[in-house]
Amino acid sequence: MIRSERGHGAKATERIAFGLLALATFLVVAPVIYIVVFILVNGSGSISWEFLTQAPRHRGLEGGIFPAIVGTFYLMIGTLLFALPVGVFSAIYLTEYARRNWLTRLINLSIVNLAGVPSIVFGLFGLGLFVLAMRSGSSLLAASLTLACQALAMIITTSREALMAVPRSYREGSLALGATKWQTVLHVVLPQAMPGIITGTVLATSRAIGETAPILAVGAAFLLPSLPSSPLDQFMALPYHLYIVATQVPGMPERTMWGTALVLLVVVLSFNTMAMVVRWRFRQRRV
Amino acid sequence: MLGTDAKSILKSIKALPFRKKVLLPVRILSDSRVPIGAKLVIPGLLLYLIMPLDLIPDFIPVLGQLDDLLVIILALGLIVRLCPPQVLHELVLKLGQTSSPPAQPKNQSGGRNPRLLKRFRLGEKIMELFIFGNGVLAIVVLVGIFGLLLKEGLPIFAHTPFWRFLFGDKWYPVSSPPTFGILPFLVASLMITVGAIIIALPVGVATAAYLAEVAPKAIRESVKPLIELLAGVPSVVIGFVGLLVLTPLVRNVFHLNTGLTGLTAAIMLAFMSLPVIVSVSEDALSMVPNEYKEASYALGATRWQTIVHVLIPAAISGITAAVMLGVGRAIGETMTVLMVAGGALSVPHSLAEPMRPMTATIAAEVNNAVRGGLQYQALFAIGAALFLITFATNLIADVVLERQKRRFQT
Amino acid sequence: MVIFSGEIERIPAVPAPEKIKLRTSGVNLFYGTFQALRNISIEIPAQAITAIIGPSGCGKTSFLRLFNRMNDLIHNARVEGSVELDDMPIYDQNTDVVELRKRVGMVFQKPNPFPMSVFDNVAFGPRRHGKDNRKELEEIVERSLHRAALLDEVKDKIHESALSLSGGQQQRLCIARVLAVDPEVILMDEPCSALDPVATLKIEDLMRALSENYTIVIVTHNMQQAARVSDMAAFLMMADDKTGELVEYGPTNRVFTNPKDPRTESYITGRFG
Ligand SMILES: Nc1ncnc2c1ncn2[C@@H]1O[C@H](COP(=O)(O)OP(=O)(O)O)[C@@H](O)[C@H]1O
Ligand SMILES: [Mg+2]
Repeated sequence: MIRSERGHGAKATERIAFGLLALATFLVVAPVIYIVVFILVNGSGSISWEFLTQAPRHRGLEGGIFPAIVGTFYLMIGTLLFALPVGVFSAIYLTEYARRNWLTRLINLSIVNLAGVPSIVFGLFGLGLFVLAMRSGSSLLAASLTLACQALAMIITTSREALMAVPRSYREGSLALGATKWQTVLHVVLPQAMPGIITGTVLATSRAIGETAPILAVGAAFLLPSLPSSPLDQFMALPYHLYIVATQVPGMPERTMWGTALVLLVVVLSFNTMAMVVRWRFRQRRV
Repeated sequence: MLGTDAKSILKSIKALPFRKKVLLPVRILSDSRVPIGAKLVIPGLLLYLIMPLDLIPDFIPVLGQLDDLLVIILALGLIVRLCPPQVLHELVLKLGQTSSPPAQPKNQSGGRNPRLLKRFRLGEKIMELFIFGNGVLAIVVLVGIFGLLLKEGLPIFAHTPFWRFLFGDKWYPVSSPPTFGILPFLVASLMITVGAIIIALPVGVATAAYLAEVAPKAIRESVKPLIELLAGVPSVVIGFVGLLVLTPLVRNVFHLNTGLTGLTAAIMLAFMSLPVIVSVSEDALSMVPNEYKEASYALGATRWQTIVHVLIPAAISGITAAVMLGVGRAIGETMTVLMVAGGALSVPHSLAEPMRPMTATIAAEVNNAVRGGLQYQALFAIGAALFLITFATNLIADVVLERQKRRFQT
Repeated sequence: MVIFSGEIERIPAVPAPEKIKLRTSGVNLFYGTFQALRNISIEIPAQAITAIIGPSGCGKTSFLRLFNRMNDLIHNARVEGSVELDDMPIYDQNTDVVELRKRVGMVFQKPNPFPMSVFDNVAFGPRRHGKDNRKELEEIVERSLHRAALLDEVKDKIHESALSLSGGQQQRLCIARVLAVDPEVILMDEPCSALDPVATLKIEDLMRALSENYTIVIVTHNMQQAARVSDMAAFLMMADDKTGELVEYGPTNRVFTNPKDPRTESYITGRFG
């Protein structure tokens, strides 16, 4: 009775419109699920003990991807080693020490823009600075440093959020007891922010080791006779390996591609998931 | 230079307790009789600390800071050396006389308790300096990247004039003589990016609106992690799946000779820029104050009318920022376009042709370019152009986002 | 040390013959362009309890935080005039804020124990000031908890999280934490506002006992509390431009029974009904 004709029409329009919105959401989500399931299904057949533990043979046509797994693992350690302290101390500077002035604004601006620099440009940077100018060659070290630069912005951003989530009252309590600023940061603020910092760092690192362009520019190897034994050695890595087997080697059996894609996806996503679970658990606890 | 006088001064410095030794340079610097050269050591020191290129790079933990520490100690020593002997002598004597807490020789009638006087905490100061050094590192890296791109890239303009580089339509980097015109890549990047955004904008904003306003909680809670997951899937994996699945699809649907086209790349990039577009738009939509919505409902508007006529207009700057960020993502994405765009070197006339955007060009040729050669310089110049473009898009996005935040936060 | 409860009304202290512990002269406090305090001059006697009362928003907290320079933490806060501790100016360029805060402790409105064990909370201050001998720390912790009248209640939970304590216990823990640093002055910002009446009484008793050895400045919006515990009372109020001004200051008895300023009277009677 109260509803007018016009209201009826509007309701119908609304129903159709909401259907379209839901469809759009489906269009976003379905491919994600498709990609993951597709790789899981196709890749699981090619996973074997040999595939995971042996080096590639015959231009990668046979054998496994063990050196690439190890290389990616090393890259992760290296990236973490460089990016974590710098990122965390930067965040500490911004939340605890920086005054509101032009320099702080400039730093914030830099972080925003650093996050948007294309990965291939980071690759050029790594090539020009670490590989050539610092003469560390196409090495694990150079690649780790390059990826660390790329992960830096995200680590700073997430660490800063974690630090800012620590209540002011803790800082005030500590300072009021005559603790110095650094003591307050070290003994009160950092322990509280640690879960958030770790989550963000793991997330950023897992993104970084999934990157192909930077290590391509720095010069990852496709085939290596032995595992790297020092940071200055050449390295293989999963994303680059996938790129090569998928596009550069004629006659490559599909199962090698699928297997490589699956391993890469599992490595990256398990870190992602781990980080998300940690974050979720700490959120629960804080409430 | 070192007379007996200087030697005796050095001896008395050595006799000072450690804390006073550290204090000495501070005293020297605050003395007006000290020459400017000694005082300049401090800014010099700071410069070294924040410079990206030092003896051991700061990126290396512990070791990277060790050289900084060494330089600090060296600088303190240098300051002591640069100070005129008479002044030094006087200051050392003064330091030696005062009793254990470093009280200032001021005459305070009421100053019964020297404990309130400023103490010099060496550890704290070093930590502060160290943290500051790390704090400005983001600037250093960003400026370092751009500086390096310019340094390695600018020389190409000695070979190919700027305008010819930008608008030349021939890229023959290894023929002799080589020709460097990046117009094909610029056009390809532009086409693919525009195509990607045309697809991603409606889908992304619709998804954001659905998640923010329409979706039941259960759907929202399960879709969001999936979108986050998408952001975490390595681009080479997406490129790989696109290569196997999307490429044949595009070829068959559009009856093309090859599925490796700009269109394929645009679809992939649309997909890959969705996470950022959806999440930033959704934030913008949920930031709109509830009163807006309620006012609209009170006027008898439906939820859909409210979304279209109230929410989206109110959140328009946030959505703009989302699109800018999506553009930045699309322009910068490398691996997928390298794998599926086709890699043709001529200026493309439609999205349905194979093409090679800027990022793909760098990735495809960077390993073949001889260091310092013309091709190497040209690639760095393309990198610099990319840097500038993404810098601009991010800057715009940031400014627009800040404006949106300020609008609703007071 | 014995904790008195229900002590008889003390003879109000008169500032003149006693030692002045804290003094402000002509203090103005600004947050950016907003002036929160205007021309405050006050002399706070040693070993006594001084209560700061006034309507909320009049600047009591801001005033209290002058004395340990906590306002330094607020980026746009600016102080004019002089504040002295034992006749030493504390806003001097050469003042060591860390040393100052060791001597002037603070208890906050909302209990803010660190998310660590009871022991670590109390030992926090001494540890930061260089004490790391376990034995010595244990002594300090026990003594401080005892003086804060908390020892018996937490004896068995000393290594459990401080956040598991009740609100009143947490606040006394915060007091113990301050006592462990052995300050001369203790600033308390509405320490009981988040507590129930029983816990409030306990803290009041504690303050009385502590005032033997410490100079205590307490902010409260509870008139009864000010009347019960304090020796001196200062009444702050907002002027028309929302800036806090000192309206009345004197022995608590006198301020409450015979206020000089009509505004004090109406505020007190308004509160008492
Ligand atoms: N950090 C700050 N920035 C700006 N204004 C503030 C800040 N802290 C307090 N104020 C203002 O100063 C006045 C006094 O505040 P406060 O000292 O907290 O009062 P009280 O403790 O008496 O309630 C209030 O008007 C308050 O809004
Ligand atoms: Mg208050």
